[in-house]
Amino acid sequence: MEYTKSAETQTLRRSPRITVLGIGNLLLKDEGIGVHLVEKLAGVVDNANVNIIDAGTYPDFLSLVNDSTDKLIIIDAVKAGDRPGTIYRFSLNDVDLDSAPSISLHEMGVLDSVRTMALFDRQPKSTVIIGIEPKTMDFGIDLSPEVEEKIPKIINLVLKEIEETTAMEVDK
Amino acid sequence: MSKIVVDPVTRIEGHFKVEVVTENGVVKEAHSSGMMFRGLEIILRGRDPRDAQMYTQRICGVCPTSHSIAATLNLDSAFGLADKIPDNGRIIRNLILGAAHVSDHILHFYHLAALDYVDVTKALKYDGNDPDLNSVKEFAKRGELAPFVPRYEGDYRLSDQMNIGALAHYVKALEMRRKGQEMLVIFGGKMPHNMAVIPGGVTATVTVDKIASFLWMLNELRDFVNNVYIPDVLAVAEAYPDYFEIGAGCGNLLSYGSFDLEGNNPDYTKRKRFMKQGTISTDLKLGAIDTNKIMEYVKHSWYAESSTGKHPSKGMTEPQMGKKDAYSWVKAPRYDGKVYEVGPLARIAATYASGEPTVKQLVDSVLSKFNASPNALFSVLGRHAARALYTKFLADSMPEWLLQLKPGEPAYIDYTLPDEAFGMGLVDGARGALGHWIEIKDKKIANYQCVVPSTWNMSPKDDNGQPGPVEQALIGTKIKDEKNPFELGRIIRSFDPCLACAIHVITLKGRTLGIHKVR
Repeated sequence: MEYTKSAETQTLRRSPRITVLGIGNLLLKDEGIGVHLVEKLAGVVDNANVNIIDAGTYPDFLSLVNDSTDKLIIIDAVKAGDRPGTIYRFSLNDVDLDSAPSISLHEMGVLDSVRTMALFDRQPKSTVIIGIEPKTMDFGIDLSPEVEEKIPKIINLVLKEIEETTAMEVDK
Repeated sequence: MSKIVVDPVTRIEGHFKVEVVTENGVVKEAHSSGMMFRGLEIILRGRDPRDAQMYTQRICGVCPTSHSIAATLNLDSAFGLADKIPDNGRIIRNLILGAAHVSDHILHFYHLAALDYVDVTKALKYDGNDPDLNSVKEFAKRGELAPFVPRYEGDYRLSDQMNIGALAHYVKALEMRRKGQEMLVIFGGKMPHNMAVIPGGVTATVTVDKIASFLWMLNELRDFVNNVYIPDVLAVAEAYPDYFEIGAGCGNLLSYGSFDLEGNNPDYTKRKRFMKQGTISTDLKLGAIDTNKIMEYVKHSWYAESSTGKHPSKGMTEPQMGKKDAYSWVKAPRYDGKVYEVGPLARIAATYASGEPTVKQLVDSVLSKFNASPNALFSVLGRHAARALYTKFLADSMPEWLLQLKPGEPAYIDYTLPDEAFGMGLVDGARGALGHWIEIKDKKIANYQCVVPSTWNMSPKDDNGQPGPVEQALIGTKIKDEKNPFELGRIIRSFDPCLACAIHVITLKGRTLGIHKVR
């Protein structure tokens, strides 16, 4: 009895693993904010437990996320109707998806991918989406000034997410 | 007369939709429309030509690797390097493209096409111990099948056991996809959007370790392709044999070929390729490609009439929204004035017609299994079978390429940027014939045009009123149940369409409780 107890209290611990996914199309101005952001973030974060991925418009996001990920941070343009440059932070439970029949692989959206992860019990312990309201999604590689000026703020927000997660302990 | 619209645009903005008009349950008219304007050419103008490889990969999140190869072949030809790429560079490009194609086709079959034939709700009947299947079962019980619905009801013909088996393979395929990407990254550096393929060769170096890791992963993928993917496609074919007679299409196929087997012939239409280049019709005779015969027409597309009937190298992108008789942002490319389908079927048919023994044996054995003539290849199942056989032929051939690599030898040759030049890059991407054309002036891009595979397949009518390949495949189809038009989705998906670039913006609708705005 004593023995079992002590074994329980000695569960192995490790540092949490974090994956940051930047999503978007670099050719469609503000739609590419996720990609712009992870490029900058990669120069700032120096932590072997943080995996920063430029996912572009890859349809199969979940295959880019390692199974051992504890926290998934998705950065993407989000249209919620607020002022351009508005930053949102939410979790998967906060959104509903309209579903429609898929014709091409392009219809496999970000949230579908994360839901498939849930379906097969491979979802990270927590997922947070950091969204930025786009101003324009026309063809072009520049961000609009409204979105561009928010970059330092978004980076700080992601760094804070990383810091908070790193402070947690995770069962091995 | 009634109208059926297959339109997924509600989820991802601006894509592609198909409208068909039926009469007595038979498709009379079909309109395939690309709903998004592609202004890539406008972005590239005035940039350094070497940017083309990086930017064109961003056209598409599904096929970035194929674009990186087409753009690089294009730049090689413009820079006078097409016959100077070192063997290591040529072979590594083949391995990178091969890794992308193998995983891409697995993804297409399991994660899109199979759900047309496999009944997910049969997970409810599962009583075994597989945790993944039990998880699907739990979701199904709660009515949550988000990745699989909505779907049509009715025509599912596989046995319960086969349905459940296919679901298990669906899960396994996810793992295989990841494996394929990791394999690509060994030489490509990154996926999606590899960094290795550049004019002059590749940035990657050849080491024994890399060859060994690649081979290790490749063998796992081959095992899956040979023992899971191929048998599943055959099982679907057995249950749905009528789909060898549905969705024939235009009967003309065009392949640019892929995977260069020699590096010293600068002509992409003539150099020796693993998958053969050429034109094929229902007589299965291989014709040589003359790229001067490629023209793009815009009578039914939203572009200025002055840009119709142009060769892609002279192509113009002059949008004219609301033009009379137009219904698509996609132009109508034609070869020698005729409608041509592109894709794995074209690659397999060209290689079959060239007499390549392995492909001939693979195709003939499938045809004889179903007691079918080669003409049955022009069908929904013909496309799926060709895609699967191509994946097998490719994956089985890649180990030999790996062994041709020479560790320590160069994979890249240096060059100087020309002041003025024209270039053309041709390759079969996963979805078919992909062409890039460039004009360089003052060391800058003066014009850049891409004709992508789905432009051929999903094209609208041309100036002579000839419908595009998917439109032709739909016209004449008998729909058994107009409320559940299985036939339409199955025909369209057999082409594996991939149009414009995805906008993966998350649109918040409905319940948005708990959204936290950051001040």
